[in-house]
Parts: sequence; structure tokens; C-alpha cells
Amino acid sequence: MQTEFNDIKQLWEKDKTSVQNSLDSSTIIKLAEQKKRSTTRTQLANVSILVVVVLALLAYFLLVAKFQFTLSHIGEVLMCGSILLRIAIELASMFYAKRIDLSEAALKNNDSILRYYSFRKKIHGTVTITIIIFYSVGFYMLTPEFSHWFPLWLLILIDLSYILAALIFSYFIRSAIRREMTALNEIKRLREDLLEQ
Amino acid sequence: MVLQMCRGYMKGHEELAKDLAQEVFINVWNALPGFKGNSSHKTWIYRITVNSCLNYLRNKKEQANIPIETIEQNHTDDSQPLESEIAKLYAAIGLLPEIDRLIIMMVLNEIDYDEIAQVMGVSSGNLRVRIHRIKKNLKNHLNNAN
Repeated sequence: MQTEFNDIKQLWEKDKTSVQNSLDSSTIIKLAEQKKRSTTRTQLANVSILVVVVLALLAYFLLVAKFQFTLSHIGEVLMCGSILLRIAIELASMFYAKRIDLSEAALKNNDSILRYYSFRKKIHGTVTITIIIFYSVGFYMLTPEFSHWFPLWLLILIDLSYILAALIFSYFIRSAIRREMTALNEIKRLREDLLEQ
Repeated sequence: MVLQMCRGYMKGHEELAKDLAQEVFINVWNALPGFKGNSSHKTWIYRITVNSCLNYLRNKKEQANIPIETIEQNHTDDSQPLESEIAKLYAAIGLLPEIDRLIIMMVLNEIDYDEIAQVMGVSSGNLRVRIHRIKKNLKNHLNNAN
């Protein structure tokens, strides 16, 4: 027997009675507040870590290692500057994310998310690579002055461990980029699907 | 309305549907201060529901990839014929692409086509053509299941 759309509608209506929400409004409000707080905390956590790194670097440069060489000063500026640039980007990213309005029409909402992920794509490309290069160049600019303080074996150890740390860091960045690029492709696919007739 | 839509979107999977519905209610509560009254409360909630469903799928893609067979098995074990029919309906809805799933559930909830067009942000003309095609696909899926 062929199914008619009215039969489908009746079946759907019959199921309505079995659908009951198990959550009461006070639990939803509590969960909503929790979600809001945890989202803000996660976003601020990234920025806070970067701020702590900059402060630690500044404390080290100003209080512990008072570098004399011009090359070292340029290195200090490059290292701190690249992290400050990253902080600015994270804050801009948070601002973009906050502007996404879930009560917009689906196509408009999808476009807002698409703009956000396209912005993230730009960051992950040229900007992140530039930041890593600036930071690394800045770090190695300190090496000549370090060589006056540390024995050669320790200097080699410091430089090699930096490479190892950079590789581990790059691996995590790469995984994050992959996740976001998958999401970007998914958003693009949904956009095409929404516009399809 | 919300939970049933979530259930259809999640191909009848009860636990995932409840999780998604909870996400929708949380989003509704958080978006409430921004409600400007430009549309009815119902349209506004539908918009948040649709956007939350689409975002949920993106954020939890792997979790949302539930094979239809599993769902059918879960329900067809039941001796009640009505429940079996309903399970088939959700399985058939689950075979549709995500956007089509959301559109057809709004049609089943008897939302005006113009209102659905507003929720989706597409033209009414395009939507009518699309709904015609979705209805046909849904009927085919159900006929194949029977």
C-alpha cells in the first residue's frame, strides 16, 4: 500500500503525545548559566595562558637576564611582540564568536559562522606561521648573548629542546587547524544545501 | 515541538535527541535577552532549534553519525505496531539530508511555508519546490521500508 503524506502527518501527530521533555525550567536555567560561564572561562583560559607567558618573558628579560646586545633586544621584542599579536587575534576571535546570533535565519546564521571560520582559516595560515617564525627567530637571536653565560653543551641543549618543543606545539596546532577546516567544509556544504532548490 | 524535532533530526535516537533538546533550551534561554519581537516567539524558537541542530551536527559530527539500522533494531523489537510505524517514520526522516529533515519536520508541525522560509532564510518559491521533492523522497523511503 502506498503511503500518503496525510498518513505520515497522522503518524507524526500520534507520536507528539509520547514526546515529553524530562527537564524542568529551573534545571534548564541552571544549565544555561553554567554553559555561559564555562564558554567564557574556556575562551579566557587561552588568553590568560598567553598573558602569563608574556609576563614571565618580560620578568625574565627585565629582572633576571638583562641583555646587553642590540641583537638580543630585537629578539626580546620579536618574542614578546609575536605573543601579544596572538593575544590580539584571540580577542578578535572571541569578539567574532560573540557576534554569532543563533536566532537569525539558518542561512544568515550559517554565513556568520562561515565568516568566523574563514577568519580562523586566515589566522591559521599566514598569521600563525608568521608568529611562529618571529618567535623562533627572536629566540635564536638571544643565542649569541647566551653563549657568554652558558657552556656550549648547555647552549646546544637549549636550542635543541626548543626545536623539540616547537615540533610538539606545531603538532597540536596542526590538529586544531584540521578540526576547524573540517568544520569549515561542513559549513560550506550546509550553505550549498540550504541554497539548493 | 522541540524534542520531537530533535528526535527526528537524530534519526529517532532518544538519548541524543534529549541532549540536543537540552542544548536548544539552553540556547533559547541565553538568546532571550536579544529577542526583539520582530517575529513571533514560535518562529524565533524554530530558528534557534534549526541553528542548534545544524551546529550540534558540526560540533559532534562523529556522535551524530548514527546508523539507521541500529535505531530500527531498537524500535522494531517492540511488539506494538504503532511504535514500529513511528520508528519507521523516524528512520525514513533520518535518510533525508539534514536540511531536508528540518524542513519536513516543520511541515509536519503545520508551520506555514512562508514561516519556514523565514526560519531557513530562503525564498518561499524555492522552498515550495524543495518541499514537494522532500515529501516525495520521504514517501519513497517509507514505501521501501514497508
